[in-house]
Formats: sequence, C-alpha cells, structure tokens
Amino acid sequence: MLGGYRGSNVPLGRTKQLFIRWAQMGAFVPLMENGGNGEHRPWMFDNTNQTLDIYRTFVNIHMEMVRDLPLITHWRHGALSLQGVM
Amino acid sequence: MCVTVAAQNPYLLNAGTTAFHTGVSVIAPIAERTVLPPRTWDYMLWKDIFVAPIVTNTTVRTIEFPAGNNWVDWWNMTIVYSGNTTITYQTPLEIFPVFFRQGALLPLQVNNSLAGHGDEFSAEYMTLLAAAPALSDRNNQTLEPLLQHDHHHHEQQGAGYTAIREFRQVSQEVRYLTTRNVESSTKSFTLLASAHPRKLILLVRTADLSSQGLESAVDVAKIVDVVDRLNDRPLRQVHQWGAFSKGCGWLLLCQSSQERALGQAVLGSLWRACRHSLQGSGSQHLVVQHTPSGARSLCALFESTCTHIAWSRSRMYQQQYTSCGSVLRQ
Repeated sequence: MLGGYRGSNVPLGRTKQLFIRWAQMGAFVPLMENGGNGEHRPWMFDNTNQTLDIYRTFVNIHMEMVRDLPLITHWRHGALSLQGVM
Repeated sequence: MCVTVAAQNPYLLNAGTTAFHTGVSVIAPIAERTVLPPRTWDYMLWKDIFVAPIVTNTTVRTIEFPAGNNWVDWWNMTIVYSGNTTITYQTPLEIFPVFFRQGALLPLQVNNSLAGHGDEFSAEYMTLLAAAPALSDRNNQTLEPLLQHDHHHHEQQGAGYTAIREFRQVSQEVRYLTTRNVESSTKSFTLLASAHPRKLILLVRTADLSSQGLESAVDVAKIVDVVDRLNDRPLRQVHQWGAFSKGCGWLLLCQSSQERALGQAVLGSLWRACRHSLQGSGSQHLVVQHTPSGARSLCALFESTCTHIAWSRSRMYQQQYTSCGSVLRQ
C-alpha cells in the first residue's frame, strides 16, 4: 500500500521522499496499490511534476511486468493460500 | 548462455502462475530467516530481478550483489555488476536500485514509451528483453529442440527448459544462445521460439559486448539511416503493416544505444526491417551496416532461416527461426 495506511505527523501524512521510494518498491512487488489514510495523490507532493513523473514511470514499469489484472488476483490468491507472495 | 522462458505472459504473471502450482514464493528475501530485523531488505522478485529497496531518506546505497550471477543495471543495461561484490550506488529520486540477472529474458507487455522498453507499437507484441547476453563458453553449442507442455509445469535448470502452464492459452517457449566460434572468430545469436499467435519482439539491449569479444558499437542513429534507405519509406508506419502473423511470428531487434529516446525513435523502422528479413520461407538477409567515424567499420548481418515443423497437439505449426547475428570486422 503505497505511502502506508496511516500517515505520520507531517504535512500530507508522509514525505515526498518516502512516497516516491514506496512507489518505486511497489512497482517491483506483485501488487502495486495506492491508498490509505491522508494524501496519496502523486501530484500533490510538490509544485513541480517530479513526484508525478517518477510515479508514472514506475507504474508503467509495473504494468509492463504484470498486465492481466483478473488473472493476477487469481494467482495471487492461489499463491497466498499455498505459501504467501511475500 | 541458454535461457528459456514461457513468454506468453509478462514477467510477474509467469512468476505467479508458477508460484500457484508449485507453492514457491514470488519474492525471496536475501537475508536469512530471523525474528530480528534482517541484515538487509534486499530481495529477489522471482528468479531474475534483484531489488535493493531504499529504506532510508538517502540518495546513495551500498549494494551487495548475490553470488552466482552477474547483474545488469535496470537503468543502464550496458552496466553489468559481478556477483558477490559490493558497490556504492547513487540513487537520486528518479532511480531505484533494481538489477536483473545477466542472461535473463524478461517478458514484458509494453504499451507506451514511458518505461523505455518500446512505444505504443509494442502493445500488440510480447516484448522479450534480453540485456547484456553472456557468451556461451562452449563452441558449437546448439539449442535443444523446444518442447511444448500444455498442462504441465516442468522445469530443468542449466541447459534445460522451462515451460509454464497457462491458465487459458498454450505456453510459448523461447530460448536464446550466444556463442563464439573460435575458428572463424564470429559470434552468433540464436533464437528459438515455439509457435504462438502472439507476436514477439526480442529487444536486445547491450552496448558492452566488446568485453566479451563481441563488437557491438552499432550506432542506432546510423541504423535508422540505413533502414530508411533500405525501405525508402517514412518512419513509424508499423501500424500499417498488418497481416504479419499467421499464427506465429517474431521480430528480432538489436538496440545498442544507451539513449532511450533515440532507441524508441528507431523501433518502428527496425520492426519493419526485421519483418522483411523474417517473413517467408528460405533464407533472407537483412544487412544493417554503418560506418562510424574512426578506424573501424562494422557490419551487422542478420540472416534468418525458418523451418516448419508439424505440431500435432494443437494442430498448429511450429516454426523455428534461427537468427544469427554476426558482427564482422571489415
């Protein structure tokens, strides 16, 4: 869950650096999901588009490696029931 | 180096289907199992991708590579790190430390140019990314015939094969082999792919093969020029090239530029050229030639032959293309 379910006591709930690094790692795990408490929209973290651009790149990397979402939930469910994805 | 993947689905979907059937985890931590915080958060994402996550607010990281393989930098696929070494890696916010195993063949579903592996024309293809392919040590090594496994998972390490059961469709096996012929001092790149309706792009990305004896300083810009003259058509008209696949087909792309933007610009024209070279039966030749400034000039020769083998199980034809890319010194 990119950025964490619960934010900390900083503006937006998490820092820009944390959000970016979290999204980058999220791209390289089977399930990349953005959500949780507080601000998670990538265009809200700076006035430039740096966060948004980085976020977009890594989302695309993730989607290149895993595209067929119904099948993914299918196998992820199966993998969890066996041993766990993580 | 002989690598086989079931290339119908992208990397993580392949991983997941195998995990589903075998119970192994898609993610394997590098650190030992412990109840304490592990010594490292690095992990393997399936078999081929090594991830060293950033867990502190920093732009530099010490990375310890797993032993047994060499590791290709995701962000600059011309850089290969040796296994069992430790480096200091610069990680500005745009960069995340990700490496993949040298010799791996990553299946990707590319739909745009944002990740640097193709562009919108890639969408109807399966992109196989081969970076810094390692040369086989043995001379005259050949690839074993491909085997089809519709309903079984079978895996064999080494020179074997990997076939991954698909949920709805037959799997596809792809292997490549890079060898060096000492006698003629030529190097060949052999690709075998089993029949599948899905068209295939093989994206070979390397600019650092010279250390292994391959001359690879092929300038993408010059290839654009040559391809343009070969075809005498404007660039990026791939979408008009329908009716390519009759159940089976692949494209061989060699891209040596480190600059992604340039590489993407050339993809469309290269596709067209490679399609020319690979269609039909018999032997055809595509000569990509360039003459860089300097003392040496290189000629990359791709020759293709195809053989039709009846594949009774699915009543499809298994086509076998062998593409040999030799880079010759003129």
